[in-house]
Amino acid sequence: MIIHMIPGDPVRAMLGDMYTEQAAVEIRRTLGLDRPVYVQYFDFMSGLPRGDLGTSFATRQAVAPEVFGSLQYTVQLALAAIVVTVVLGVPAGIVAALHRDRPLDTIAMAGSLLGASMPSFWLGILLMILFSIYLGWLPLIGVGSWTNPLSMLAHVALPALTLGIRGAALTARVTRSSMLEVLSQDYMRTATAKGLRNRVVVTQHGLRNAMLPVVTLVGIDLGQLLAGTAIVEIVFSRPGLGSLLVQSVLVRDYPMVQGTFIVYLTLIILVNLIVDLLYGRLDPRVTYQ
Amino acid sequence: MTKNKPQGLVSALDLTNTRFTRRQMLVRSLGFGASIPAVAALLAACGEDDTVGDDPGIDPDPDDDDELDEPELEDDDDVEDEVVDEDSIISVRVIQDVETVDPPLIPKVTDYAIGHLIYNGLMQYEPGGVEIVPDLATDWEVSDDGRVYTFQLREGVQFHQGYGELVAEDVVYTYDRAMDPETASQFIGDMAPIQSVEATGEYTVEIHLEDAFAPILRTVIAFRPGFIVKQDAVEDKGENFPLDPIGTGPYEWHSRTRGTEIVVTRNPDYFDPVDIHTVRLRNIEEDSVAQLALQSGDLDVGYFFEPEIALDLLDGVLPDVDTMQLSGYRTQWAGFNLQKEVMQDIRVRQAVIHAIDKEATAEAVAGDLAQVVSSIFNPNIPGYIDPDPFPYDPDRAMELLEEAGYGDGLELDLLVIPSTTWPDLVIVMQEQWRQVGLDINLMTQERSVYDDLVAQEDAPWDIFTVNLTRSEAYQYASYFFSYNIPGPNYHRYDNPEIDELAARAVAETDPDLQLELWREFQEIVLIDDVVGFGMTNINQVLAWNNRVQNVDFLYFDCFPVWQMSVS
Repeated sequence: MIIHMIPGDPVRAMLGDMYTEQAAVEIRRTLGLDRPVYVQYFDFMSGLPRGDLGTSFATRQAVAPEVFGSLQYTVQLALAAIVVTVVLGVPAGIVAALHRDRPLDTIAMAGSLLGASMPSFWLGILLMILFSIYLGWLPLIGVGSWTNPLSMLAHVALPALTLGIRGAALTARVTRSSMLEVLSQDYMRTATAKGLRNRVVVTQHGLRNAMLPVVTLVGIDLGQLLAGTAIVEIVFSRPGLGSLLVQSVLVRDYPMVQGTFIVYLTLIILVNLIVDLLYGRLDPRVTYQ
Repeated sequence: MTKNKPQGLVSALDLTNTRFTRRQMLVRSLGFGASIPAVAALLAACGEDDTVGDDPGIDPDPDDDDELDEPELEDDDDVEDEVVDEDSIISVRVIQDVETVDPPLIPKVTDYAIGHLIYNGLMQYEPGGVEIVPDLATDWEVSDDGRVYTFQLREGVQFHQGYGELVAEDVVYTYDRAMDPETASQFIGDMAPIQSVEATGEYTVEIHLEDAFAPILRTVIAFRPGFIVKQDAVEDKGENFPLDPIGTGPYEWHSRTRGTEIVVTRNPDYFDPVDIHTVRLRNIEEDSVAQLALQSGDLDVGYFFEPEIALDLLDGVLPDVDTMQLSGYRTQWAGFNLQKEVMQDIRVRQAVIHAIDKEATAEAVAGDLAQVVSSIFNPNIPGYIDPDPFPYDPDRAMELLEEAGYGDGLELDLLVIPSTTWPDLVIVMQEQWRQVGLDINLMTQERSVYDDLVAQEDAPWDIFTVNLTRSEAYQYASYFFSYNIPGPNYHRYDNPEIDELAARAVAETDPDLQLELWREFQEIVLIDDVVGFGMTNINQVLAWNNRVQNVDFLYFDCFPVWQMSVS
């Protein structure tokens, strides 16, 4: 409903300078835009239980296959980016905390600052130049083929790195502060006093307690990745929900925008549910009744 | 579900209650880490194959493959296990994902570029310019009164996938379908001059117009709605036709990988055999990425639009890449809102133009790629007039403002179209206007909002900017017809004299007289009435890997792949 309220007319966007009243009337009628907004809304809602997300104004084809076709690439990229985030961010944060105010801490935090500050568009291009042009290790653009998982992984590597580095930067900072807080606790001193090896103290007693805020952050990051990968998708010529949504909003393709939002909402709810459930696994004090 | 919140990280945990040993923790962590790509792989396995096409014979992303298999043909007798040499595959750049390749609905450049490979029209744009030459027609003539176009069709032309031979009835079906209100084609206005289309023989077709209308050749017959389709194919494919099209063109639709690329393969039955077997139309939106793709070999041919990158390519930054600078068909011009009282004073309009140093502005924004224009017509369009009636003269601009009663300055609103170089041009121009006492507010909006604002009945802007790609004088002129209010005459310029001139021009069958009428049209609009002014035509650059031969420009950012070859 809100998309109908913002300025812009899908028919005018479609016709551009070929706009004539006659053409506009015919197209409005064909697309059902001559009906009241509430009728269009109930029409859309009545199709939802059947998985019918309507028909795109731009392509004149069903919205659902387009949205779900893009969804698989978005999920693929978001999960791969989260792997990068966790694999780079958590160890960097731990190392920084354990070497507080020493060179390793400075290096890790400077790297984190750099990672968080770099625009993904620019970082993506830099990674392309390094890994595709000079080293020739990874493909420049495209998505690979479902029939060839290795090719698919190779194609997702650079976009995932582009997105993951930013997430890793933030994760490293949160992990560091969380670890520092845990390391100063009495139970950590007690564990050390019991004669446990430092590595055991850190991994078994420290890391697990420090993970709660990190899991929260990674959950939020995953939600953002599912919704906000448009720029990286465009740079790497990948399909995805982000670029689909941007393109649909620009041409006021209402059914496509609505369909994309429905899928987004479902994904965000799912991610939040998973994060909540994970709290219970990490912290025995959290129980669900 | 209720949740007991953690009491805070400061509270001590009972370590004896820890559920995992270190080893278990490590193993579970590894398992969790490994599960993420596994989930991705599972999704991949469960996901539908996103490549849409009839034939799995060609890997849509054959980066790792050296060879492509020839797709199976309808007739088993024709099937050959031809191995496609990599040298017979080229990648060309498109800048958006495909939406629909159904001719009367083709909305934009990408779809048009694909349509050019899939279909033929009766006539076509000749590579390298905007001349119209026969395509499916072998011969054509126009009646003396300019109302009947007769086309003799090429015989023996076959539709893809065994849909049979092209006959005149197919042309009739194509045009009737495009003109049917139920099709809701955006070209319905362009097709309005057509009264009927008739097959007068198996290979002869006549297009009857209500009145003589010479632009019909470029606006319809050789353009998107004029691509010929077959009724059986349209009906068989149904709603899949837009992304599984059947035409008679040099290439057949093979597959689409959503958001990434379209693959078309050579039509073995094409009447004019082509050299390149497979064309990958790769969606690369950003010029900077396209440049890298050209360097890495992921792209063979592409247009470049960003001045900095285009100029670099022209300077030869990439080895093994040839370039061509084209005086394109993107005209940037501006118009005045004649509904506004202040803009009804012709002296104000003249002052606005006199204040602009077009040469310096264009140079600052696009360097050598900028071509200053004086008309609202594209300089490559026959009939374009060159002399700039209001050259850069800030003193004269100030005098005119003084005479108009705005010696103390004047504030105006300028609606900026968010495309090509207009957003950059107006920033430079704003300073030039300020120096003569014109305080210009820039209204920069995204395209849909621009479309709304520019057409609004009580438009809030005083000046609007336009970026127009057209091949026909009539299409530029239509921005000034009084019967196009509401419509593209956003100036609200009402002058029956120019309506009459345009009507005479489109009905004129003598090309020289026609050009004379269009020149007169421009003189009235631009010099006598000062309704708008031309700014620049930004040249574009076509760049290609030098292994590809016979590369040329095709109108509206398309690619005449059928004439290319690979060395």
